[in-house]
Amino acid sequence: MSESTATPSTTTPTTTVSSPARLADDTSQGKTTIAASVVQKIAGIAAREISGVHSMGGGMSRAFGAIRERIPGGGTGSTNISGVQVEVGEKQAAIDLDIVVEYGASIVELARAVRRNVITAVERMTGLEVIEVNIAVNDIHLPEAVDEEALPPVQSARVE
Amino acid sequence: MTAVPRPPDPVELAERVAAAVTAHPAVAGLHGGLYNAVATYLPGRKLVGVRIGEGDEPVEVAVVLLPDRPIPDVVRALRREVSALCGGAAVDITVADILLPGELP
Repeated sequence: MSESTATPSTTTPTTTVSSPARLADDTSQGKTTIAASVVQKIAGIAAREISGVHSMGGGMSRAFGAIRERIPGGGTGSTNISGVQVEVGEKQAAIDLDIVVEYGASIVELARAVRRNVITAVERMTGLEVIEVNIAVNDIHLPEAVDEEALPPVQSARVE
Repeated sequence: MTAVPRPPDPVELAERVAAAVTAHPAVAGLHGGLYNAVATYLPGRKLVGVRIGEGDEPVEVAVVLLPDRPIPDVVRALRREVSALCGGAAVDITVADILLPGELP
């Protein structure tokens, strides 16, 4: 039927070969919108993949995340996106991360690795250009066993 | 190419577009879009995720994807397929969410 008329249009006037990863090249055929939650999830997963990242979220966002999980319909999968804020435009995305690191990791190296992995993942998966990844290290996670053994017995034998 | 041969029945067309979109292996499902505005109102029900524009308006599609392949590839394939169904109309595609392995649809 009408499908046969569509086949001879192989010589399309729009040349879309300049940058295949970008989404903006198909504006003549329609817009593509990628929701912020898509970028948030991809960035959250990519950041967590790096060993040395203990968890995500700052004091406030962790607190709100804990509340939100208890509210029905307050956002499913909020565990994946806590600590990730994004701004998504038509071609670009900016990402802010709040992370908690493991004790013993080099924070500079860790941040560099997180940034690299997040940029790679988001650019590959969404085709958006990541213009910046701001990383805030909000806390450091200490091994539990050590600090409990190391604490002196409290106020027990101060005077005899 | 002067008169775009758009089928006269937008209801049937919307259902064919919905079927074609959900048939793609990377599509987890249809979605209402950013303000739940992407929908076709049918007698007795609402087809969420597809909106056939009037006249020169683009066809709108909103989807939830699986994260197993790059989004631009999927969007390009969907756009080609939907545009062919709708007589070469422009197709606006919203990727509203992705469905991670642990999540329920």
